[in-house]
Amino acid sequence: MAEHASKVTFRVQRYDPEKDSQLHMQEFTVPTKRGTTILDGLIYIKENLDSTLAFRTSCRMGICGSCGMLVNNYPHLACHTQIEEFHSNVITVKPLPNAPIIKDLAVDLMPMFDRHKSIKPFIIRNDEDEMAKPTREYEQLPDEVEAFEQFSYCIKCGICVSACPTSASDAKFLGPQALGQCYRYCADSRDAGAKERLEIADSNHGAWHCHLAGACSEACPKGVDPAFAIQLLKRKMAVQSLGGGRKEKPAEIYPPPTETKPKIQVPPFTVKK
Amino acid sequence: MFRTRLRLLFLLSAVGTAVFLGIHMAVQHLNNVLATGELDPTSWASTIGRATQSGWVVIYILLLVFALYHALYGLRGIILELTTSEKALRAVNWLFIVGGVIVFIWASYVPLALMSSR
Repeated sequence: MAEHASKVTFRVQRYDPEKDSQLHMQEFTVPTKRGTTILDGLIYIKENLDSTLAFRTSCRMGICGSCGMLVNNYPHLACHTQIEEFHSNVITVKPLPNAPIIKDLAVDLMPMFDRHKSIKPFIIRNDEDEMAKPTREYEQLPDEVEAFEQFSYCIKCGICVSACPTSASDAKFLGPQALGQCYRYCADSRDAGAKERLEIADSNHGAWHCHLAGACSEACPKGVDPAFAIQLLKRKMAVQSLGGGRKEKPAEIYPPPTETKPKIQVPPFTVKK
Repeated sequence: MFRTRLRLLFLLSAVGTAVFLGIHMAVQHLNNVLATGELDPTSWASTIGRATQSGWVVIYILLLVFALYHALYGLRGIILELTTSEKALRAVNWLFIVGGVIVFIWASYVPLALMSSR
């Protein structure tokens, strides 16, 4: 079947802090065909129409989380979103809200990364020697992996934070990304740092500030459910504050392999070496 | 986990408010269904009459405590979202604590005074 080529108007928000005093929209006409993504359109503009257009991109396959932007007023990954999904000849592209603009469509995600770092997004253990020089894997059952698996798909694109109404009104709010990852590590059976992480989430601008609008989960391009993670985190915090919580030790390392004798004797080689 | 405990109290106060406000509303407006025997439970005389009974005084003071805490904590949450200044937040905290205590003393004085004048 021959592919039908057409043209689409891209209305792109422009802002250069060195030149512009305010934001403005600029229109570009972009040829499209079936399967053309928003990112393809932006790359076309940069290569053929205006090389000064700034946007962030890397993997082009929905893995790196670089190309989050507001497409027709909803946050999407530009590489993961096809133009024909919108059934429109006009596509409006703006930078992600709730983050300072660096230039055009590129926003500064450092505040989000700082909040992410603040919740200690790594396995915390008490066996420092094993952490410094790992000898073997930690034991973990499939059920224990399932407890946090879907939350580990987060690619830190910032789309959940841009969709969150609380992040829009409270600049200090930890945000769905950081809180979701806080739960991801607290739920990990290998981890022993839940107590210190939950103290961080217990701050004035922490988990209890989430209104459960659910916009983060709806917008997440990877199908992670940060709103659910925050609810589970709240439950963990409530249980912890009432003196409950996980009592068992974090997962141990696998025992060393044991030497076993084969029960059936292997017959000798019939052909001599 | 201090803020989590405050939040749990907020949830508890919501339940408490619903229960005690429910009792209050039922007695006031479901007179025919409950057959309390009062002719007009909403009249001034009935209200004063209830306020002289220790059981009702306890119910009204608990309703006051729960509703006051729930309202002030909720309002604090809204203000917290609108300001990022820690100084302003501390001021709001103290204003609400002092204001809450004043309102509690003021509002609980009437039923307590009525009960003691019985």
